[in-house]
Amino acid sequence: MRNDLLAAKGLTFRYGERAVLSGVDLLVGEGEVAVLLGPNGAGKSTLLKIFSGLIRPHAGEATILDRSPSSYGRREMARILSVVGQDPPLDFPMSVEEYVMLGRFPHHGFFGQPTAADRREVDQALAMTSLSDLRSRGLGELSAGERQRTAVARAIAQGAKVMLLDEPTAFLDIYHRVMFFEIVTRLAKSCGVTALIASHDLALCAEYGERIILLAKGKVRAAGRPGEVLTPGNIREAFGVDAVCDRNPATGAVRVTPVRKKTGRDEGESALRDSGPAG
Amino acid sequence: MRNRAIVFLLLASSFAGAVVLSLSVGPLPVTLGQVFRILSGGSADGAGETAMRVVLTLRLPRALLGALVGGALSSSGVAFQALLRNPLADPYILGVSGGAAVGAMTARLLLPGDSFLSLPLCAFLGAALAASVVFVLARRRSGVSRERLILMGVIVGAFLNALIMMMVALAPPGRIPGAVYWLMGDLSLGTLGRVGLLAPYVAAGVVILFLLSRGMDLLLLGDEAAFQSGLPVERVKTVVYLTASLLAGSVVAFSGLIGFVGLIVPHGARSIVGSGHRRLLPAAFLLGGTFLILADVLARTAGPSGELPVGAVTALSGAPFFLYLLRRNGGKP
Amino acid sequence: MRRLPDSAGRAAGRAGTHWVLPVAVLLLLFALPLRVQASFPLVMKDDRGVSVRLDASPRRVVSLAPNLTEIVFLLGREDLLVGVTRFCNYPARAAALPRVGGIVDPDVERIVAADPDLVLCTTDGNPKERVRVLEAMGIPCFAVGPQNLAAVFHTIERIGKLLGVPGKGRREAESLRARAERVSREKRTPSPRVLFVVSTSPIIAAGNGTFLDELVRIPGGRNAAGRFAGRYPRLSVEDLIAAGPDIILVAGMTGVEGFSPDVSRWAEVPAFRNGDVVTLDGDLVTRPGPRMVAALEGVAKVFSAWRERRAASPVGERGSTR
Repeated sequence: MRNDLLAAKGLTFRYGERAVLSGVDLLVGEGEVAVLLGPNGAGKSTLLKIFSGLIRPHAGEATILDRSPSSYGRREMARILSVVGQDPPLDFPMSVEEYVMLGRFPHHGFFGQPTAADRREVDQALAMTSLSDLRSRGLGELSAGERQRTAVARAIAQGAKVMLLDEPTAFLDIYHRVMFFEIVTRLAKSCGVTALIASHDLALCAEYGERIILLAKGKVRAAGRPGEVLTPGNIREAFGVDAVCDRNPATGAVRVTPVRKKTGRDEGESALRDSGPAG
Repeated sequence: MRNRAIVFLLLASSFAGAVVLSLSVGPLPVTLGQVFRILSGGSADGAGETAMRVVLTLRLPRALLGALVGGALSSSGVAFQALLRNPLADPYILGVSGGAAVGAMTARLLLPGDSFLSLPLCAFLGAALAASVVFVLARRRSGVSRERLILMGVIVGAFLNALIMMMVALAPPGRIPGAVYWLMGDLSLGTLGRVGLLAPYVAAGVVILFLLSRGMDLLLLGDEAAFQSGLPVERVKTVVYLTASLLAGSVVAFSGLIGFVGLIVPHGARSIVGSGHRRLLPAAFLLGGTFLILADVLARTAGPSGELPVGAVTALSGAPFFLYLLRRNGGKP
Repeated sequence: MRRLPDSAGRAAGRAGTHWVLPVAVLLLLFALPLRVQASFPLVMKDDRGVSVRLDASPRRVVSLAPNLTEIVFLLGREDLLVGVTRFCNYPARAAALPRVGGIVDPDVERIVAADPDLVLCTTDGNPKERVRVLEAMGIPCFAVGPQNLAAVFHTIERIGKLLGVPGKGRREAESLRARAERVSREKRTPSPRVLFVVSTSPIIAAGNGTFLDELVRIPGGRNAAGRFAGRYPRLSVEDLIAAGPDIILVAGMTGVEGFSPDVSRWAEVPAFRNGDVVTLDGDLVTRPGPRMVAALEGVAKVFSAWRERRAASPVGERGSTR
């Protein structure tokens, strides 16, 4: 087991003059389900984009298995690392199965026909995401939750060691969010996949994250086990809200509950603005 | 698997049927039996020698040209729709038509003498030039974005349209009609020689697109997702763009602007075989060829006052069909 | 719709104008009362049905079409012209006159600046709106649109009256009529099948009801494009083969070239086989003016040459006219 499957050292990235990441250090070990937690605009997506090779940092370096993302060939990289993001809506008819099969591209390439092995991987991915019954359904007929699961299934079919997930549950209701985290956790346990999940969902990250990296204003505020990171002080600093952090009586995991401001409504809003969230 | 084979068998046989129909229909009466005798290389036995020559040197090249043009426009439409992730894109969306038109008008207006040869060449050069200008203008260090492509296509297209209007306004009378007819789409220039000249371009373009069909599947997901799925996105986009433009440009050079084929045929093909480009491209090629051959049969024979512009026939039959598709899919093409 | 070629061919000279004659007579009836009072003020209905009033004999005239300019010259009143179009090139002196734009794009401002007391215009070429603007400014506009030779002759008479030379107008029209009459009385058989094209790529031929159709029928030809419905049908090569014209006349204009070799190699077409493809001066055959009679005589000459050669060579070799 390696402790530094994903590593970042002094990562700095700017959009024009605005620094989005400034000196971020990060380590994610093999088989870990790590959560990149932070408010909107903390730099989570930027960090994931650097790891997937979409953009390059202005300073510092990111490595996957000790190599920089740009040193990999496109398909070689896709066999190691897959990404679940917010795909733009698709205006073309496509079945769930066809869509998930697209994840096999890094393996069969431009010219190869899908093999029995490819089909097996797709079947497995569909089964893991409970989509087997919907395989011939059109993507356009799916609910938001099912749609998000197809994206995960495609990433699973890609067969990569590392999976980056960018706000994967942003538009889902609580049932589908829980289901989603269950799938990812199972994947990490049964297939040894390492997952780095960018999210601002305090409650679920506390429940499912093995390790939490708290990002605020482009810097790592804290990193470690949920109990160490999720403290009222850290949360106030990163998110700008007061919270109670106690234990969930059912699972023993940290439980974060936001606390309503005691002042009047108008005052409360201005107070929120003053100490507004990072980024 | 079997279903797929049957679908393609049906597509291929309707294609063949359209070819045979177009060989037997026209002002000079030729029976189906005579067509088959002529095609099988038999003597003009029963068929007059004129009938034989008409079928072989007028109707056959025209049917082949229709097949190539219809197939190429449809393939190009499929490619542009994948490239721009927009099911309403067609081969002319990014300035190819305007460029070809300006080239053709230039040939008609400036080059004296035999414009039968110079017109296709100038039209092709115009199309290629316009497509390259749009591409270069849309290019940024980070790559080519769809939004910039469409924006630049619209701007360059508007500029070229203005040029066309200038040329029409300044041209001496008598020079214009030929170019105008050509702009409306015209398969009447089909000869075996021209078909032979066009075929390699179409073959090359279609084969390149077919080899890239997996890449186009992934382009549908959006640039980031395609990139993260292992696709060299910028390279594939560049090749798809240039190939689709070459296809449209070379076809425009020989047949003028035939609208709607590149827009509706991909939709029809998609509703039969789905969005996977491995199947979509061949299906669109066959369907496009069939459609244009039939449209040309109508154009040749249905008009009370001689030949109709085939581009008008495709648009007249294509627009209602497209509306039907839109309604059936609840507003989504 | 379709006329039998034989009867149509023979009847063309006298009765080819049969549907127009009543119209011409009607027009004459309109003009009759005015004919008596050949003096000004004068009120005459033009081809739009507008009554145009001239208080005195015009002294400054603008012509908005080449055929009208030719008519003014024919009547000897070119001294009145203060503006013509850029297409007015006959007689040569016309080209030296001040220009006021084109046929479809006459320059209203220049016309007004020329200060005319009469504008001669056409019903089908000049834009109606611009003519209306001129009229709104108090300039009398007389619009003509002759649809056949008889109407052209009548137009010459009417313009003669407008320009204060009614006698000259009558005489010129009479002599043109007599020349046309002579052509129609010449030997008319055998009757060639004739295609009169205005464009070779694409092939666009003159159909029924056009001046070119008249030019073919009066000297005894049969219009090979007569079976098509439109006035200017577009023919495919196969249509051309099916039509099988003995003679192809080409209205020579800028941009109209010879037939492409792909077309002219079809020996099934008698005109191609025997080399009977003749290009005529486009200005002559397309302008409904006095020179149309010269065009008619030219066509008649082509036909008689064809008849002579046909009579000289054995039948069958040159192809029948069916």
